[in-house]
Order: sequence, then structure tokens, then C-alpha cells
Amino acid sequence: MTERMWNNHEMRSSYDVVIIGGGAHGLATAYYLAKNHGITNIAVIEQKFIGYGGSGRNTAILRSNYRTEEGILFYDQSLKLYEDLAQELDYNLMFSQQGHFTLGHSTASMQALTTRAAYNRALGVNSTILDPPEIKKMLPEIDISNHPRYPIMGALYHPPGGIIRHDAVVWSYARGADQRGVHIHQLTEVQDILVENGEVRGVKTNRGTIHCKQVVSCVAGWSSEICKMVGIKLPLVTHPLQALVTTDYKPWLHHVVVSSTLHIYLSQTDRGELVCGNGIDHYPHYGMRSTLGFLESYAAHLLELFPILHNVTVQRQWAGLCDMTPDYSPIISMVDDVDGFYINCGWGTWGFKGSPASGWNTAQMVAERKTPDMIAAFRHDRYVKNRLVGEKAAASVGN
Amino acid sequence: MSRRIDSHEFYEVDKSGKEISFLFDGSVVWAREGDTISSALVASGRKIVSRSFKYHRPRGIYDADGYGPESLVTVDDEPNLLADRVLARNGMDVRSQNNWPSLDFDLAEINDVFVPFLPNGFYYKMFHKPKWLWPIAEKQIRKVAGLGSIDTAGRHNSRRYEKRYRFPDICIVGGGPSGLAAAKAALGEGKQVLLLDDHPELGGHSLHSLARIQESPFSELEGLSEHEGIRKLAAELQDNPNLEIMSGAMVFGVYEDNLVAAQWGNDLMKIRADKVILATGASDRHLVFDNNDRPGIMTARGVERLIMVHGIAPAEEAVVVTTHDGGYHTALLLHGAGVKLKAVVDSRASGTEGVFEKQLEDLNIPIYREMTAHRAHGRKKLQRVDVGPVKGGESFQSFDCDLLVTAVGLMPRLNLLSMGRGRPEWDAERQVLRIMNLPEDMYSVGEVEGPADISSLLQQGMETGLAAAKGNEQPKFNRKPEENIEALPADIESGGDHHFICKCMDVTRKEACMSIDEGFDQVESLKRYTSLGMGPCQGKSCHEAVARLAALDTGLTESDAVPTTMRPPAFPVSFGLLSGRAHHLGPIRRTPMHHCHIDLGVKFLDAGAWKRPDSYMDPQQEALYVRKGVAMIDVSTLGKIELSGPDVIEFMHFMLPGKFAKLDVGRTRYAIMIGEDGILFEDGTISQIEKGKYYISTTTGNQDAIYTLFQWWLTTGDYDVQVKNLSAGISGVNITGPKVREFLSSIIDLDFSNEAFPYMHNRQATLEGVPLNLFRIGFTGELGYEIHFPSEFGESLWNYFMEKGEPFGLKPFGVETQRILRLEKGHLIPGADTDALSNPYEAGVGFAIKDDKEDFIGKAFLAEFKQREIENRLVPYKLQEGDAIPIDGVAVIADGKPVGRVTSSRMSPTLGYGIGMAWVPAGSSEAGNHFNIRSLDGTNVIATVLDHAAYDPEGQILKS
Repeated sequence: MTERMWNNHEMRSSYDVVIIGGGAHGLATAYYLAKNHGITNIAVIEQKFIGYGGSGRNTAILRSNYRTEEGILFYDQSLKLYEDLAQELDYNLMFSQQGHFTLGHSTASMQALTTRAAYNRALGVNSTILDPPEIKKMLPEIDISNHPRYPIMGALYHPPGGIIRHDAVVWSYARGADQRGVHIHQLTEVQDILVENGEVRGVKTNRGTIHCKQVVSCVAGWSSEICKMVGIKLPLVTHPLQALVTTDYKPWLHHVVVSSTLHIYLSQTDRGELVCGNGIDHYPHYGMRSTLGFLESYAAHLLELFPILHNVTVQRQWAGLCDMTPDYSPIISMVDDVDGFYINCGWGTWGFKGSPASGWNTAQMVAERKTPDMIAAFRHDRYVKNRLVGEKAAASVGN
Repeated sequence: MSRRIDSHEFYEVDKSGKEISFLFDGSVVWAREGDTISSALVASGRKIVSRSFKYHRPRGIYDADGYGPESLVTVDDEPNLLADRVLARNGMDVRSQNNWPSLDFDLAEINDVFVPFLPNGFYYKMFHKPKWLWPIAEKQIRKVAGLGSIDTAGRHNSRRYEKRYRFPDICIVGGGPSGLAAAKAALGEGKQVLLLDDHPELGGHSLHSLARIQESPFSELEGLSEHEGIRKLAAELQDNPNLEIMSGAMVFGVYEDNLVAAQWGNDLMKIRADKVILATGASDRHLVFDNNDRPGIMTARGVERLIMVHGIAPAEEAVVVTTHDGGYHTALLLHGAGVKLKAVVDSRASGTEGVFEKQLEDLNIPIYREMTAHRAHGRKKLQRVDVGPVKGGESFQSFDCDLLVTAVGLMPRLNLLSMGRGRPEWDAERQVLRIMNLPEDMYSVGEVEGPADISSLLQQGMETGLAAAKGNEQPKFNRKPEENIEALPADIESGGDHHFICKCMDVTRKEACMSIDEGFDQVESLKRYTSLGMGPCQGKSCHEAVARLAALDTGLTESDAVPTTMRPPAFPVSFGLLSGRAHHLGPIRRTPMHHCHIDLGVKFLDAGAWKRPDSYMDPQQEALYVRKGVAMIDVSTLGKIELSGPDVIEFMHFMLPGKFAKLDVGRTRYAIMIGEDGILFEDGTISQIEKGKYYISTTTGNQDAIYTLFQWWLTTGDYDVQVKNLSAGISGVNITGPKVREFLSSIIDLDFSNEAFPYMHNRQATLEGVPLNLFRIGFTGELGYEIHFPSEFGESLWNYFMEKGEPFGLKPFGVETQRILRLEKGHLIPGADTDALSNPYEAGVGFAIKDDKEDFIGKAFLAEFKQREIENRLVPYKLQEGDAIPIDGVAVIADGKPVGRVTSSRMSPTLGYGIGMAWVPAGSSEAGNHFNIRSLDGTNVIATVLDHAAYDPEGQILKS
């Protein structure tokens, strides 16, 4: 009677491709490998449950208003895939393209936002700069007076940005992959990656060893640990990022609002919760424990923007891990020294937005065993060669 | 219709509370002081208090304790408050939520009718095809979603919140019998104790218990009934000077290192204690049966509380469903309050007969054994209950009643323990969730460890208090077999459409089981799919149901997280409380001359933490005063760092890419700083002002970062160098313009001639006894002197200069004007004209790098940059006269693609056309090259690259 979203399988002794990490990136990679390239003998290995990591902990904001040409084109592809995903996967992902504000509170940030708008427009992405009265028209409760500690000077407005039901993205990719024959193994832990003569031979898990010639690591915050298994050092630093939701209110906020200066972003879901996120915590850490300090500073900063939220109550707080790269751009890459090993990581605070394009291009890379042009800039050795992608210049709060 | 009781068979009713009234949905409700909104509503005979989230089912007061969502209301301008927890105040305006047109007649209840026809998880399976449907559907959904409304009219600043701190030896959460006993024991050991309780009166559930205290570690309580005994114990502690009691304090979080956070009135309490004892108690478990959410179905402790604490009989006719002797206690209390008991329904066949069971039998109240509730009838209020066999099957009998009490055992209130990182485990034998491993310095005691009788609670409370006081480990307690509770009945046959396990989100047992079958077979994924436990109660009322689902054979995997992670806050807390007075935003920094600027009619600019003068009049006009006369700017916000010591040169050579060995006393030099990645992040000047004393002037934004960086590197211990951050202690002005030499010579006793005081030199002087450091530098491109002096003279010196300068036409100018002037001169500002990828060679400041020295910060990357061809360059440019001035940040476009950006763009008042700086590809970066700037509106202007500066390219003015 009930149709299963995905099935539990016995683990085979060998697969063509093993994808480590059952988040949006891993599952999208599996889905597009099966759909676009006909490769279906795939295992997705997940230590906990699918969507346990960043895919289930992010604040579900989508946008493509990046700063660099590489970033803009990549996230534009991602956003366009998202726009049709609900139809393609036959699942209501509740994508609400409600428009996305990035507020500027200083001349320096207005300059940076203007550059983003200019680059976006030149590359066909809809972005513009709004002045405070224009902002006030769309967000009537925002305080644009001189009263706040950091008055609002303007905003980058990006109409195609919005929010989506993030867990549903994970589940529907999982279903799409499962329907095409992909095996999803939850509660399965990768203990080692077997490499011989510079070639991938298999993966050792707590449920037995799998033989395979291609392994894709899609484990975000845990990437350094997985890559250590094949002797690759990554320039990643893992930081916690904290978020919260409020209790449910009659929908009042119909746009995504981000302020880098105040380190906050918020949106209101179709259920009525305000979903609120912060910049990354200052300290590198693998712990996902929430802090009181985050609640306090978030509240203080939020009330600067929206004093009417004084009596709104926080319902739940949590944390996730962000694998930060030095240039705030991801790493999607083959590895010269280990044939058959692919890295997909460095997603920092922007991984969820990139999942479809990440899966699409990673799948192509694995299937064709060469780097697609779209992600050529995201190779892992760009740090050694000092060829960074300048998204760091865009903002410290990248949501 | 008032349900107040005048007398009760078993205790004396307190009727002292003054009569007050408030509005509920516009109708007057009479209350007594001490009432909660809920108790007053029950007393007034009101049944429906709220509407459920999804299906808009009518809901009434349930546990009268705010552990579920049933009592959510709006009070004055505050939405989503728990009526169970808010004390009634005279004149308050209480409104129900999530209904239209009214609470009693809510059109959206139609949703409830459709439930059987919708697929499980229907919201993921509908409205997305065709593509155009969703935006329309979403709009409608957003019209009805949510609970309370945010008051956008702005009456939100009615409260003022403060933050307070406590540092007791021992912090006890929960003022029930075990918490009080623990406090007494710890006080006996001479400890400072802080006791927090979430109710106005200490005593916990004991306040409504008639049980006799048989044995007690405190012999004076023996023989008393529990509610008398607990009041006696509380009263005895009340006056102890080592005890602080916070009644009505909601502890909402236990964070890292046992930081306890609570809301106490309008205060956010942050508590750091040596030891934390969690005695948070237990709540009634929830019985799952058909329509188990109807108004009129209440928990045993909720009913007891209404009777004994508030003197209210909640109904006319009642049925009690129970699994243990406690249900008989509740029945007795109802009987004593004059409520007609239609039946007591006991799931047990036989077993230990409790004292209350015996008493009730003697009253000839009908008792039905091996039975439980099967179904509730009545929509807006309970009308009838079907009871039948525990194993299910046909119902046995129906009872007309307006109250059904569920007394089916207790579940521990684990949230705070779990936040302390204890891991809950399901104890099948005792049918409770327990937390076995608490972190260091944390203890738990009382019913949170599983149900127990009053003697055990007092004894174990005392032992735990002693253990905490002495720093011993948490004592291990063995529960008596009779304290074990029965498995819940009616875990069978609960597959109907109205068997709710999560009342916040309207999730039924059936929905949960179907979701497990769909593949959401781990508790965390089940939670995310069904929203089970994600509503306002945050799982407080359903986490046990989830654990039981996992324990039963439903296919739910028993993973390492049973139930789902309990996250803070345990109770909703407002942004207002959390923010307090918003110390997190950082103070505003003002220079000593701040008020002089205001007097001059300044427009301020926010520059990081600082308020800086942007301009006093039209900046274009101000700029001309500098170029043609003399003007002054406040530069007090610049960083001023003094370095000295035997290794100072070596240290500077490591920290900065420049060389300073030949920088003589009295000389000043331009310097840059780069990161370990070779990226330019700072420029400023370095002066040797006295022998061995180097004075570094940094930008406003980087002063703290650079000071920290110096100190960071000094901790390596390899350098004997002293760093002094003089930024706040020294203030300064820059006086500049063709007439500056004439002006300054007239007031300062110093030879200002070009020969005696050349460009890029520094001198010392005094003015009216105030020591001055003077630096001849030229950021504005005009002859100018930066004058530094102790900050305490800032205001008087500013006024002195303004007064003495008047005959010379001295005017003030601001940062915006300075930006125009430096742009005319082609001077960059790091951070404004550069970003996190700007290498210093491409930025045009390679001249400040002397890389023929030993290791220094960024050396490796600089070497690599140097090898590499220049790809982009930061160049000064000019526009044609009459061209529109683009705004800062717009793109440089070549072949339709963005290839660079304008960093600074202004009208030059001196030259009469637009000038600026831009990053352009190397191929178009030579003087005389043209490039295309595109504004956001799509218009283009052609810019011409300049060789060095638009104004005084050879620097003749600066150097003469």
C-alpha cells in the first residue's frame, strides 16, 4: 500500500562507483550518474541517515548572485536545475522563489554588492541594487532609520533567490537514484579506502569490504578525515555554523533577508517558522553543540533590522559543520595521485545551493573521467598553484 | 458558570486571591490573583482554548502545565505564549490563535474532514504539477499557515529585559521534593545554593498530593500529608541566607560546561555553578486512542493542580483512566471537589492494591479493570467515552462525561539532562526513557530518574545534595518494584486517523507507521518527514511516543539516538529576552573632537565602530578649500602603534615586506602589510620619532587587527620587542593646503621650510605646552602635516586650530572629501580598492616591497606572484568631461563579459571630469588604454587609463 521512497539492500561485494556521504551532493551525484550516464551499479554509503549532515541542517536558501564568473555560472546552473527539480523528481520541494535581499551597512559592503550586481547582470543573472526606500517598500517592517547601530545603506536584490524544503531535496534525489537501481546504505561507516599502485580498489566499511574502481567523497565537514585515508591533505578548516527556528507565526516575511555586517539571515517558511542563520563560529571545531552566545547575539542583531520581532520566540537551535576553503569556493576535483578517487567538498556555508550542479558535474567527471569545463576552476590543486576563485571577496556571510 | 470550589473534602481551599478580570477573545473572564490564564479559563467553564496546527481541531486545557501546545494564545502584543504558564493580570487582553472567523467556529476545521482522503505526507505529493500550480497554491498556504500573528503595529517595546549572572556552588533545577531535599542537604554542608523552580510556589507535584509521608530523612515531616510536608520543608529553607530561590524561573538551556540559562521574569539568568543538580520531575504519559485530543481530556497532574493549587473543579462528570494507584488519587481529589465520578478504568488485572485504590473502593465508585479508553466522542467538548478491553476489540461500555482524566504513568522530563549531553536510553523493564551518563559535575534526581514515592524522593534528593556538596559521584538509586510503571495500554489498534501522538503538528500513530514503511525508519528521518516533535513543545510531549515506536515492532530502527536529539531552548524564549540591551552590537567609538564636528554641522559616516566626519558641506566644495586654501580633517581614528626594543628592526623586517634599517630618526616612510597568502591588506606610514622608537600609523579599520597580529608573532618569543597600542591615547588632525605652511608657522615654534622639514619627515614640537608629533605626508596630494597629540587635548586643540586658522581661511573637511582628494592623486585605500585576492604588484604598490631579505610574512607567495605575469592591474583612470559618474563597484566589461570592476569613482572638482580607480585586465592597463565601464542600468562610459595621478602627477606640490 505505501510506496517506499527507497529500499534497504544487502551490500554487494562490488560496485562500479561508491559514493561516500548520503547528503544532497552524494545523492545528486548518484542520481545524475544513473540518469545522465546510465551508470547504476552504485552504492551510496551513509554513516547515519540520509540528510544527517549539512543537507538537513542548512537554512534552505537558494541563490546564484555570486561574485566571480565561475561562481555565478555554476550556481546559475544549480538554480535552474532546482527550478525544474520538483517536476523532474515528482515531489513537491516547495521551492519558493520569493526574492533574496543582501543588505549593505557600509560603503565598502555597498561597493562589493554593486560589483556582484554588475557581474550577475553581465552574465545574465537577475540582480540589482536597491536603496533604503525601495527596500522598505518590499519589507515594510525593516528599520531603515539612522537609529540602528549599523544603518542600512542599500541592498543587493536577487529576485530568483528563495527557499526550498531542504530535506525533501535529499529524499527525492534518493528516491530518483533508488528507482534507477542505486543502493543506499544507511548506518554504514567507511573505515578505510583501499588504494593499490595509485588506483582505487575498494572501500572498507563496518558492514564489509566493497570492491570498486571509483570512489567519490561527498562528506563536506568530514572531508579531511576521508581524504586522509588516501593520503590527500586538504586546505579545509571545519567550523560550526549555528541556526535557529522560531515558533510558528502567520507568514509575514515573504523574502529572504541577509545581512553580512550583522552576521544574520532569515526567511519564513510556508509553515510559519522564521528560519534564522548566523555566520560561521569563529573557532574551528567538529562539535555540533549549540551555544547561548549565538542566541543572544543573533537576537540583538536581528532586532536591529526588525524591532517588531521583540516578542517572537525561539523554538529550536542547532549547529552544522562547514568545511571552509581559503577562497570560499568548493573543491570538485579528480586527484592526479589516486586514480579513481574524486573529491567533492569545501562547501562551506553554500553547499546546499550548489547540490544539483555539484551532482550534475561530479557525475559527468566520474563518468567521463575528465573535468567538465563548468568546474575546471574548482580543482583541488588550485591552492598549490595559487589560483584561487575570489568568492571570499563577496561576503563573510555567504547565505 | 464558575467552577470554583468553596470547600474540599480533603484539604482547605485557599480563597484569599483578589478577584481580577481579563479579556479572552473579547469576553470578560473573572480570575483570582494566582490564577494562570488557563486555570481562570477552566474556572469560567471554557472548553476550547486553541485550534490545532494542521487540521484546526478544537483543543482545550490539557496538562495545565504548558508541556504541550494546547494552551498557546496571544497575550496583549505577545503571540504564542502558553496560557498554562502566564499568570492572569487584571485587564490583560488574551486572544486565541489560528482560527477564522472565531475560535468556536473555525472554517479551517474542514481540513480535518479530508484527512482520510489524503495520502501520507500529502504536502510532498501534491501541488507541484503542473509547474505553475505551486506558486498559486503556496500563496494560499501562506495565508493560513502559522499560529499567532506578529504584531506589526510596533507595540513591541513594552518590556525591558536585563541579563544577570549567578555563580553559586550548587545550582538546583526543580523545587519539588527531591530538589528541596537536595538543597537542604547542600545547605547543611555550608554551600551556597541557587534553587530554580518553574512555578510560583515551591513544591512541585507534591503540592497536590494527599499521600502520607511515612519515612523521611527529615523526621519532622513524617506523618504529614505530602502537600503539608512539602510546604513545611519549603518554608524552613526560605530564610536560609545561603539559599537563593528563583520561583517562576523557566530554565530553557544547559550549555557547554554546564552553563544554565533561565528566564526569570524579564531577566535572562546565566548561571555558572560548581555542580548542577537537575530535579526536573516528570509529566503524565499520553494515552493514544481515537480522538485523544478532544477538549475535556486532561492529564492527572493537570487536574490535580487545578483542584489543589487553584481550587477549581474542572468538570461536572468525570471518567478516570489509569494504570496505577495514582489514578485513584486523582479520582479521590475529583470526588472531594464534588465532581461526579462515572468510572475509574484501570488497565491492570490485579496487583498491589494501593492506598487510594482502597479508599475509592470504599466510596463505591465503579471501577472497571483490564479496561482502557477506546474512543472519545464530542467535537467541541468531550461528551462520551467508550471504554473496552486493554487488548482492543469491541468497546465494553460508554460513559457520558465532560472530563476524561488520563493517569497512565509518568515520563521523565529529560530535555535539560539531554542538553547536558546525556544520552537517553529506553528502559523496557521500567517503561521509561532514562539518561545514564551525565557529564561531569551534573547530577539528576527525583522523578526524572523514574517515578518514585515521596519517601524515596526525599531520601534520594538528600543523598544527591550531599554528593554534590562533597564532590562525590552521582549516587546510584534502586527503585522499588512497586514504583515501576505499567506498559501503556492501547498501543494496540491505534491506527485510526485521530490517534494523535504529536498534538503540536497533528501527527497520528498511523501517519508515523506509514512513514516508517515509506523508508523513514530512523527516528531522526521520521521526525523530519512527519514534523513529529518539531512543533512548539519540541518533543517534550511526544519523544516518549517515538521511543516506544522504536521499541515496538514497527520497523523503526533503534539507532543511537532514541529519541531524537533534544535541542535548546526547552521552552520558547523571546528575541527580546535574549537580546537584552544588545551589548553584542559593540559600542560606538567617537573621537575627542566629536562634539566639535556636531557644532560645525557635520554629516557622520559609519566607519567600522567609528563615527567619522563624512563632510560638513558639499564635499566638492570642501575639496577646493584644500586645493586652494587650507583645511583640516580629524584623523584620530587612525591606528597608532609604537614599536621599540633591541630586535625592533628585525621584527619589522619579518612582519612587513619593506626595509627600515636606513629609516633615520625624523624620517617617515610609506609601508604596506601583506598576509601569509601574499595579499595586500594594509598600508600606512612608519616613522622613527626618537632613537629606536618606531611609530606606525595604520588605517582605522585595521588598528586592532594589526596590534593583535604583532602580539601574536611576539609570542613566538624570538624577538625582544615592545608593542604599545597608542591608538586611543593619541589623537590627530591633518592640516593641508597651499596655505598650511604659513598658518602653522604662525602658531607653532618650528621651522616649516622645505629644507628644514622635508616631505616624508617627522618633527616634534610643543603648542601651548602640549607635545606634538608632526608628520609631513601627502595623502591628499597637497602640502600637508599630520599632527598627533595626547587625546585629552583633542577637543581644545581642534578649537584652537579653528580659531587661529580663521584669518587663513581654515575650513574643516571630512572623509568623503579626503577620498576625492586622494583619488585625484591616485592613492589607493586597501579594502576599498583591493580585496581578498589583490596581490601588491598588481595593486601597484610593489615599490614598497624589498624582498631581498630573509624570511618575512608572505615571502613565498610574493615570489610566486613576481614570477607570474601581471594579469590584472589596479589603475587610475579618467572619464571625458560630461560623462556620467558610475557608482563604486560597477563592472568593467570587455566583449560582453565582466573582466574587472571600478573600486572608486568620483567627480573631480579640481579637474572637472570623472576620475577613479579600477581593476582591469593587464592588456588594457597601460596609460592611454581605454576600457568600458557599464553601469547597472546598462549604460556604458569609456575610461582612459592614467599614468599615475590625475592631479600633480609628478608630485611637485607634495615635495616643495
